Amino acid sequence: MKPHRKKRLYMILVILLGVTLSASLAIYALGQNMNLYFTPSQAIVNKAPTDKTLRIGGLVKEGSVKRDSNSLKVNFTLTDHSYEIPVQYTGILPALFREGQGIVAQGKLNVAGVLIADQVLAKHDEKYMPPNISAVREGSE
Amino acid sequence: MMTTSFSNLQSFLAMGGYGSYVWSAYGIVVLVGVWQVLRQMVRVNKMKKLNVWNGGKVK
Amino acid sequence: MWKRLHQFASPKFFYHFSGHLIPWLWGAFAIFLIYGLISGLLFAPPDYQQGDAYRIIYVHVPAASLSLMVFSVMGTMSIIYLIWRIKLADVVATASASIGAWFTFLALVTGAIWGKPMWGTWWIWDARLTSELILLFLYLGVIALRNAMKTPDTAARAVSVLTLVGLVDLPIIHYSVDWWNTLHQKATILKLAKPDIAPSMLYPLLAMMVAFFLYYCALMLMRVRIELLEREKRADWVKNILYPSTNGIGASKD
Repeated sequence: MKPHRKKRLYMILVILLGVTLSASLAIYALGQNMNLYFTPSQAIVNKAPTDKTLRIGGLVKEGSVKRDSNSLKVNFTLTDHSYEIPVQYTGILPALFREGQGIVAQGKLNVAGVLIADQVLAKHDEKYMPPNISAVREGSE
Repeated sequence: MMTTSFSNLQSFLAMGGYGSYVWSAYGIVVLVGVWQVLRQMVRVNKMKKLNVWNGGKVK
Repeated sequence: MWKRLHQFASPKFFYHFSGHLIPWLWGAFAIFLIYGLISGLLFAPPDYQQGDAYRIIYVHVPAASLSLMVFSVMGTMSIIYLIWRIKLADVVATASASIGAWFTFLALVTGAIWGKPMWGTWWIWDARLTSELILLFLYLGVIALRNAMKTPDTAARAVSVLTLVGLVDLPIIHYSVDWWNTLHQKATILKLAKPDIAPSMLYPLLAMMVAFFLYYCALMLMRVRIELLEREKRADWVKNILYPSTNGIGASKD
């Protein structure tokens, strides 16, 4: 490679290195703020504040869903298998909402540690398969 | 072996109740895709009309 | 070798070469598209969780992966241009920018249309969606910077450097779902492990990804040809073709 081209190549490498370095530092500084939600463990162990809106993400605990018969009120529990947070929500639930599903609930914790949610979003996993295959897999487990 | 997921046209269009979402997603992709190609063809035709280049060849 | 490469990169040769290539690209595109659409929309089974709504994957994932791929092509072209000053590389980058921007736009829009019924929201500021939105702004920035510069050479240099800087967003988008918790799910196909998708659903998706890639190649070459002709009106490379001794780069024996 001719010398002036080699110089340009080094310039490019310096730019790429500099940008990568500053981006990594920025991401490192942002740290936890880049996360969309806290797990129940994070919220409970770090004593999440009661006056701020926050998001809790976890699985809907099996058997925990209790729907109010004459309103859209629903109670359920989010778990990460070590800690649990009860959630109360009034509104329409996403189609994927069900027991065992990953859910992100947004709201404020009350003094009793219940998340009064104003938004409930469903997370789906990265697996795609036909219904019959999944039934077979679940049955074999 | 090769059976379709839908028994008739209506159920195909309905997409299990998600028809409006599925078809609007496909619709916008088709719209943008076709429009982009057409735009390039218009650009070529304009250049031909302006006669900046002779008959479509650089030679 | 170098001579051959420079000949290939000469505007005149590339103009004719791409003219022959484009019809084949469109033909292959049509085959993959038709197979992908029919098998994806008609024959692929519904998803165990998402029912038929998951079929948006066949446009969303190709658009999203092309939005990343086109930018990486632009990055490669920028490096080639900055080091060797091969103008064709800059023309390819120019032609790619708005196509990439549209792929990004489509990825975001189809993602929103998918998100509403499945997640329960059109939009959320999680790391994946936000970094993809930043990619759209990078594309728009590249296009705007190109239009703002008067002389093509300074524009090419400035745009190349901005593209290099923007490259850092690509790994962030890809790994965002692993580095942070997001509403968007993790990678299904582009990972080291086996794809987590049934073959009957995977093959249409791969076909659609190939179709989108061929579409990009064909449309990009169409734009490159027009761009070459437009630049010819005012730039020096026509003179270089006619009088090959003046400048080593961009010249061909004719």
